[in-house]
Amino acid sequence: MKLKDNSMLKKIGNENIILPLSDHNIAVDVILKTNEVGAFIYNCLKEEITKEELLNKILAEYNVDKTKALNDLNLFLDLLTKKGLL
Amino acid sequence: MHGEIMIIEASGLIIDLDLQYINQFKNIENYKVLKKPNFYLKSINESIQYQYKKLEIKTAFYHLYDTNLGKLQIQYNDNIPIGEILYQDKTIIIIPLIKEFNIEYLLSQYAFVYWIRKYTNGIFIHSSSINYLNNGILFCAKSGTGKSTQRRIWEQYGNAICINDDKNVLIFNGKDIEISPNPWSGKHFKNTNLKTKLKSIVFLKQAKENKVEDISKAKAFNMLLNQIQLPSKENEETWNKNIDNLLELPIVLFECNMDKEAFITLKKELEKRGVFDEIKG
Repeated sequence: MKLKDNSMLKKIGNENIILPLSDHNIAVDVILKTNEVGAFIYNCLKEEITKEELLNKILAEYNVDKTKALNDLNLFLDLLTKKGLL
Repeated sequence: MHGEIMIIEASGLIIDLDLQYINQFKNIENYKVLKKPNFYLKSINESIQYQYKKLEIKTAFYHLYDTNLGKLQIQYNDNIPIGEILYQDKTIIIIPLIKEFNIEYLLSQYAFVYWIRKYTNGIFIHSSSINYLNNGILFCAKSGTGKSTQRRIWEQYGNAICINDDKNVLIFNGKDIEISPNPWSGKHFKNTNLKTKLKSIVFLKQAKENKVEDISKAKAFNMLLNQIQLPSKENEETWNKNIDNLLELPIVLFECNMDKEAFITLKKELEKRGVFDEIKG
């Protein structure tokens, strides 16, 4: 899987905001706010990657429990898909 | 039926304006130029026959379709279609389905904002702007908070000039940011063709007492998000840089009332932050 080229990540201070890219005005509810891990996942998804590879990258980068990491990853991927970004 | 065809310069764009209700477009003469147009905005009476290919965007206000003639935006008000906009790059055709100036005005503004994103190093921002002793200040807030009220207070007590009461275009030249005037300015039709360097952004919140607070870049960005034009695929990189430069300006949250005291307090606080420095020096 890979991100479509219809969004960008804007980092300001500790905030990570995923913004839609469009030639037209679109509803602001497409904007997603995420944490550092979300931003890490987002950046990994700029290149083609499998869910398993992504999970391994998260486990290598952050000190988190595997089950929790997988749950959070699934939620985040669902959200990106629902917003039409993945 | 058509009014006079007029060539105007708005935020650096030279536009051939062929509107049906141009006679009701207040202040538009102030933007007239004798230059060769690059952009063509034409309002027509009858709807065109399109072959629809795909629905691309659907919001409460409009639907955007890909058609055989270009992207077609159908504008809605309470689920009733009120107008169409056909985007053909530097030519945009608008069709008011309700035959009123206000509808044509709204559609033409969409066309203008589309070109701003696509053909300028600029960002459109929902705000009221003033020129105070050649310093540009933007008042930002949700509709109904009092942007026009603060603008009026600064006109009254500070002899400030309103550049645009609702629809501002910021043109970026690195850290130099210019409020670049245009005639689309919301319901009050209040605008002046006066380029002004932007010096500060003031977010407004209604309150009994006047109080100015510095806000973080992250908070300022979050507040801006509801008021600014978002990036496109083509301008993602410049948009990103422009936003960073914009956030370098003094940005404050102003809890304010509608009295003269509001002007005095904000002026003093902006002075403290060096907003008017060049004038003193």
